[in-house]
Amino acid sequence: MRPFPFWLVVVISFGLSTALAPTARAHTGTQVGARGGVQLLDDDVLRDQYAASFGGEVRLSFALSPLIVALSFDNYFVTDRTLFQVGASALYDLPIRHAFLYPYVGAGLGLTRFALPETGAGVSPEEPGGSEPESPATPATDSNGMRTGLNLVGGLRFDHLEVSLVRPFAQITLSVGPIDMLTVTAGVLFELEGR
Amino acid sequence: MRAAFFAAMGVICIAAPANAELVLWPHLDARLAGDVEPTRGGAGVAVGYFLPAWRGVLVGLELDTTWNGHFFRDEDVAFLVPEGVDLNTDALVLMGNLVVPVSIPSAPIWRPYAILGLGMTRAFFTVPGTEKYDSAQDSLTFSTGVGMMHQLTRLLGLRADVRYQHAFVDEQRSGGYPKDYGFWNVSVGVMFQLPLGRWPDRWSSKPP
Repeated sequence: MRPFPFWLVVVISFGLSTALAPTARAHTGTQVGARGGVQLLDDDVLRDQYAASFGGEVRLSFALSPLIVALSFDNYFVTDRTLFQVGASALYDLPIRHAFLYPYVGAGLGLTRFALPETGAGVSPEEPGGSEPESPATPATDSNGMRTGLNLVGGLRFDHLEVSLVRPFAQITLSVGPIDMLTVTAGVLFELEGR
Repeated sequence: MRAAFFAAMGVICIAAPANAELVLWPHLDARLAGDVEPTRGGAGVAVGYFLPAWRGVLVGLELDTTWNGHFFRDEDVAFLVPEGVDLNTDALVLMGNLVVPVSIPSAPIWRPYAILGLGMTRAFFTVPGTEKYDSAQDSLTFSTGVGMMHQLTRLLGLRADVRYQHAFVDEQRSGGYPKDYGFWNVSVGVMFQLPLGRWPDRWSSKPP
């Protein structure tokens, strides 16, 4: 039996903290926006350090809940490789808000799709153009696929009454799992409906 | 077929006791740790029927089916095929679950719950391009865990749980995974509930 992953403790702590905290209501509505970022971790096979990302995000808030559901897509620009992530997270505004700055934390799932070039590292030897592994005992690795991981989010949202339609934000996302990533992201959300 | 389904759902809703809830829960799964391939995912759906049992406690019965891709670690089942043959493993998990949610006084939109399940795991072994090595393995499966439901609207909610699942393998039969296996699994999804309404604080005598 492999050890129980430590980050599950983080998720459970997040759930408990939001459950026990005062149930402030989020605004009801839908926000859509674009975002860009930089991935900070290094990995020779899958991605480059400081790889740029660009994508979109939808944030949904609900009448009964203080949680905001964020659905996101991020494409990472890595030479000769495909790497993108579809994510769904629950965000929670921390009860330490400034007049127009709202810090938040969140957790969710990220589905990361990757594809390596066929002649690159990790290609199975039976695939056309694949390189032989270093030794017969070296297991072949998938050259493409989709992996599920956990996303932990911390960020800051600008939300001023006089500029209510535009909400810039900046956040850090730590993706934990088979594909680890640490991405600093900034973006702008536009209020579609509600308040 | 579709009409029959909606007719059945209608009958269930109409015939249900006033406080009963019909719940549909499509979910994504990730295996965290254990004897199977970790960090791979799956998807499933559960249909449940919840009744208030005692004060703030509800009791629910649900049927849950989950498809898991790339189920076993390659090195653990490599002996089933000759060297160099790429064996794929998937699994269909069918569970009957007893779910016990508890409403939180003053915060009824949160419902922690415990879950206990009994069912079957059917593991599939396939090799692309040939049926020569295809086989399946059925194993009695037990699961237990805890989770949280969170109401977003009168129809929608979020639900997530962490479960330990243990499959009992018939070690006398050859083929398939050679011994009992267990793993931790997290499931996250959106929950639909009928009839529409805000979850009542079942500890209170006040109407919702």
